[in-house]
Amino acid sequence: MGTMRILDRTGDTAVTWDLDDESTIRAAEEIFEREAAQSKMAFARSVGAPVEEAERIRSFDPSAEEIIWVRPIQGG
Amino acid sequence: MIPSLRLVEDIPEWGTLVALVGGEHHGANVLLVPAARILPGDSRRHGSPPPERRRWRLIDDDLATREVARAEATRRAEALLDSLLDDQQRAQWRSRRGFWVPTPFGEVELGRISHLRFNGVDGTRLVLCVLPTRFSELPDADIWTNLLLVLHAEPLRFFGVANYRTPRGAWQSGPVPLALPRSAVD
Repeated sequence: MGTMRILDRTGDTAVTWDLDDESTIRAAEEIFEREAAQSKMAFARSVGAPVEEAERIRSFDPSAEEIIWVRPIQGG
Repeated sequence: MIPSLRLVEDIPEWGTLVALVGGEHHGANVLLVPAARILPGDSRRHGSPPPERRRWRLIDDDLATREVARAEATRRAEALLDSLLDDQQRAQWRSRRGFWVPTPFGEVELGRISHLRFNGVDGTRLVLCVLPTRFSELPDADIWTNLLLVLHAEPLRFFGVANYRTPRGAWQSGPVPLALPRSAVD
């Protein structure tokens, strides 16, 4: 079971997938592509791991325990 | 969590009835009494009978729902940020709502919007401003989670878009002038 956490006004929206359920993996992959198309950045980590263990990823990895999506940044 | 107060009813001569929103006693009603009613010397305290109660106004359920949703968003965002911090950063965040993040070019303090202190490896002191897009939609802790992850994984992207100024200077557009990281000099 993996989870994507997409930062938003609710804190984050969670999307989960099950490695034994291909349909959930496909759905999660579609959401991954949708978020990537918005220039957001994805980071994979083990659940609860500190930032040092978070890894930038550019394609969907179903084996990831948790993927955190953050927004593009800009000068303020 | 510090609860918010939502006005339920003004009761003339008595006080203001409010409902607690969020916190341990969420939903409880509390009557706030003006100090003048209970301080010594107030003749109305014992004299006149209480006024007839007016019919209660309908509670603004939408407002209460929004407040609860906002509190839950804050809780989720705080928990996520907390999980990403090391012990020292977590202690800093809990004590003063800011924490230092090391990078090869120096350390950046996250926690104050438009006022990110940067101590460069060459002794440079700057103030930076970097934000996630549409940051005002996000709970505060999500803003710092966003910047923490980018700063850790791609510091050059972070410094590349940052606006900056010296502590007493005017804002300038990025990229931030950076000294070479220590590893490149050694």
